[in-house]
Amino acid sequence: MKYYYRYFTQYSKFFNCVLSNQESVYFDASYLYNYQSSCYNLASKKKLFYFIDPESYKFQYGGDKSFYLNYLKYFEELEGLFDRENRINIDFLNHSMNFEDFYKKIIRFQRTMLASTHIPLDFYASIAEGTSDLKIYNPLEQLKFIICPYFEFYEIDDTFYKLNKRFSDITPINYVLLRFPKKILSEYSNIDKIVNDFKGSAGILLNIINLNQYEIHDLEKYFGNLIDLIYKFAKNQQNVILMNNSEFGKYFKYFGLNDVCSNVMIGQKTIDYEPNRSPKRQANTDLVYIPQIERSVSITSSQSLISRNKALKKDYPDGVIELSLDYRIQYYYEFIKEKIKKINTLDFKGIIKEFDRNFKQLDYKLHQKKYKYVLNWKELLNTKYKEFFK
Amino acid sequence: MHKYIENRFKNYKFKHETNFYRKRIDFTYIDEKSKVHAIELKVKDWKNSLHQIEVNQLFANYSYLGIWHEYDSIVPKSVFKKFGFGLISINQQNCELLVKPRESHILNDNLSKKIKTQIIEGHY
Repeated sequence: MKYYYRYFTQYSKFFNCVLSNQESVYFDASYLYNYQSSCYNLASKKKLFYFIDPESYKFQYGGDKSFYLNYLKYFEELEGLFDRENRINIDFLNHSMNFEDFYKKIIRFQRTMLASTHIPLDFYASIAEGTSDLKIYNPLEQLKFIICPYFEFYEIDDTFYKLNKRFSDITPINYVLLRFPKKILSEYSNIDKIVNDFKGSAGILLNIINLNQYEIHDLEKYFGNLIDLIYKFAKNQQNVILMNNSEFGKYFKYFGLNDVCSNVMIGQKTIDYEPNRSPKRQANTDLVYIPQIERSVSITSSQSLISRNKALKKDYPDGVIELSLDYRIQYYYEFIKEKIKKINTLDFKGIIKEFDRNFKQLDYKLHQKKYKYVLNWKELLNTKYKEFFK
Repeated sequence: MHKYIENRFKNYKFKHETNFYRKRIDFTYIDEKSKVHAIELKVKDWKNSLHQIEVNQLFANYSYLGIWHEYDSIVPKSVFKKFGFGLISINQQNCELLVKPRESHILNDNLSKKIKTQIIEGHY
């Protein structure tokens, strides 16, 4: 189990100074296209492993933001691929030649976009002068896998679902990214259908929209069925990566999940895409990660948590509210590394004990109530574990 | 509700909408002993105020919920007593203290000073 951190320049300090060498990140394709040098500099400096999300689902929505339009330039040679609203032209795509060209173009982007970034001249100079024994960073060697073009589907067997299926059949070694609303998970028959339709692909990435918004009584319906989906893919020897809700999702490792994706400090929330909204320039950085509740909360809530629950004081200094962002990020990273280490080494019983041990550290009644979801997670994991392995 | 609460505490230094990181505190004032009081105003939804009242104790010596008088009977006073939060029932003429708060034991001096400065500077 490992984390793929989603790269954003707002957290450049984390990526450039805190993140260890040879860790894993991922780049959104439109982001990479707009910030190519910054992505290359980071990846090469730290020799990072990475993958690229081609974000082709955005073509379903169109839009006129420059960030998006820049990315479309990459597809210029496929004349007719987009309509006047910059949305994908399905009729165009339905011609087999165009279909294949589009597929190849998306694949090529992932293979070449970092690799084609210019390499500083002094690097060549040092090679020519024989003063360098450095091995050139070859982005292609660090690319973990390639993702087929994909679209967001709203129903099983709708147009976009079928297109995804066709893309996945072209080269099974490429991974499939399934992006869909969580209501799909609530119908159990959908789980078997999806597993069966995409069983040929080497790997599956799951990105489920609004998964973080649920009532407690829906936990089983969405997360329980998600665990089933992961379990069934894993049983087919397919690599499974969860793109959102890493806070809870990392525990699905016990059901076959390989890796999770996350933003820095806060798990990724996949929400409905709004084409006319510019990407957020400023991420919320007023956060503190609290390991006992498995997530980051506002700096004020964290101060209250630490002030009222004595056991939490061992993790943070008393005045957490006065800690700089750099310190808070450093703490976050250390906690996550430690947690992943535990998940990778402890058996299921051991990790369940961890849940209890952690939650017991909250002794203030109001906090026990507010953060009770941790116990609900534990309960669901227990139920599913018994279902599969006992 | 803002104007009724202001009317009750107009003799103190007070401020509406005090900034506290990403939150705004509905009403704050400083009493004659230089203690900070913070009041969250809600018409009815007392449950959703608990967390904010609790966090307000980081900077306020006394933290309250101010609830519209028609709904004060639905608020369980025992919960407020248990956690040391104050409860004020507000109507057009009067503000009645239903539960007296206990002084915060998680007060952060720096935060309290910052809030006091805002109240003093914002008071007119």
